[in-house]
Amino acid sequence: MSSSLDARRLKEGYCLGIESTADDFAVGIVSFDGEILANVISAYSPEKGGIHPREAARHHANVAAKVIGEALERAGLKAKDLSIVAFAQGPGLGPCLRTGATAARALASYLKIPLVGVNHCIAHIEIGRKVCKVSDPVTLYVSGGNTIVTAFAGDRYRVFGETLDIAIGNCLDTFAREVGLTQKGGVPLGAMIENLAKKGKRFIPLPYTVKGMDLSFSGLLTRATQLFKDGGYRLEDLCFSLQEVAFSMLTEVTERAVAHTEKREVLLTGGVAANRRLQDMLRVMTEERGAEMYVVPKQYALDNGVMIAWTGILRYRYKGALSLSESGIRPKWRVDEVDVPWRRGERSDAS
Amino acid sequence: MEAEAEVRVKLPRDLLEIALNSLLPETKVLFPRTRVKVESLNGELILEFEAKDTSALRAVLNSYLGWLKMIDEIYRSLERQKAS
Repeated sequence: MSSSLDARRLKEGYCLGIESTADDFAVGIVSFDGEILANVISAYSPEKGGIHPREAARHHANVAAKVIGEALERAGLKAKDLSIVAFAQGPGLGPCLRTGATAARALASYLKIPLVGVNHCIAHIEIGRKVCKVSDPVTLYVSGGNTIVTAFAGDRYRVFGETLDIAIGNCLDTFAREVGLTQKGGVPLGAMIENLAKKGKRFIPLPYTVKGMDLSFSGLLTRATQLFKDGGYRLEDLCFSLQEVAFSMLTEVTERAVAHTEKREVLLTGGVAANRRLQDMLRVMTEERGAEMYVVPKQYALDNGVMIAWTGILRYRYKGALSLSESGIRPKWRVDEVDVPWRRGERSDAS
Repeated sequence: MEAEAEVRVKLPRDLLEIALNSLLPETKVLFPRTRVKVESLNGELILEFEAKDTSALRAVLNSYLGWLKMIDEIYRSLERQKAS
C-alpha cells in the first residue's frame, strides 16, 4: 500500500461500486465500516433469446448516469462524500465490462479519487461472507455465467471444481427457451423451471457428467431438449429430472470439496442460489457432514454493486488504487489468479 | 485498414480531461479489425478510428460515441448535484 495513502480514508469513507459484467448495470454504496447504504440495479432484458453483449453494453451506457445518481440519492450522499470508486474488472462480457470500467474511470476522474478493480467472483464470495457472517466457507457460486466450487486455501481462493462448458444458469435458461417458455412479469426462467419441476412425478434418466471434480452441463441440456422435442414426455417431468440431475452433480462436487478441505461452512450464492431444490439438496449434504449451510439473500446473491463496493474496500486497504493504465478489463480473470491479502495468514491446511 | 473516421468534439476543459482519462485505457485493448486513437488538442477531443471494413467501423464508432455520451451524462449529473 502506498505510504502516501491517507490513513483516515482507510477507516472513514464510502465506496461506490459498479457492476456490469453481464446483463445488469448495478451500483452499490458501502461505508468503510461495512454499512450498506444503497443497492440499485438496472437489468437489461432482451425481448427474446439470451444476452447480446453489445446490446447489453448499450443499455449499461444509457442508464449509467441515472443509476449512479439514484444510488447516491438513496444513500443520502453527495458525490463529493465518496472516497473510492470500485468496478468489476472481470470476468465477464467484454463490451459490458468496458462500459462499466469507462463509467468508473469517469466518476473517479471527476472526483479525483482512487479507482479499484475487483474480481466479480471474489466479490460474490466476500459479500456472502459479510452478510451471512460466515468466516471460511466452501462456496458454490452458481449463475448464468459461472459455476464454481471454491474455497480459501494457500493464501487465495482455489477452484475445487467448475463447469467445463456452460454454466448451470445458462443450462436452465436455454432449456426454458428451447421448450418455449418466455419471461413474464419479471419471473426468471430458472424460477419457471423450478415451479414446473414441483409438478413433476416421474424421473427420466439424463446424462450425469462429473469428470474428476469438474462438471459438464451441455450433454444434459442437449438430451433434455431432444427428449422434449421428440415428444412423449411431460415438460414437468423433464424439468424435475433436469433439476435432480444437475443439482445432484453440484452437490456431489461441493461435498467432495468439503471433505477435502474439512471446512465446516458451505456458502451458496449466485442467481441459481434462489432455487429451493438446490438449497434442500445442499442442506441435507451439509447436515450429514456436520457442517453449516448459508444461502446469500437474493439481493446480494444476484449481480449487484454492493459486492463490488465492499470488495473494493477490502482490496483498497491492502493493495491501494489502480492507475488508469492498469484499469483495462480482464474478461477471463480467474478466481485463483487473484491475490487476497485481506485473508492472508488464515488457516489453509487444504492447500 | 480500409475504413477511417475522425470525430472532433469541443468540450469544457474539465470534461475534456475526464473523457480522455476514461477513454484512453480502452484504446490500449487491441482488436484485429479496428484501431482507435484518442487525444486532446486545442480544447477538442479527437477520436481517430481505423477499421478493416465499414461494419467494423460502425461498431467501433457506436461503442466510443456511446461511452462519450455516457461520460457527458455522468458529468452533467454530478455538476447538477454539486450546484444543488
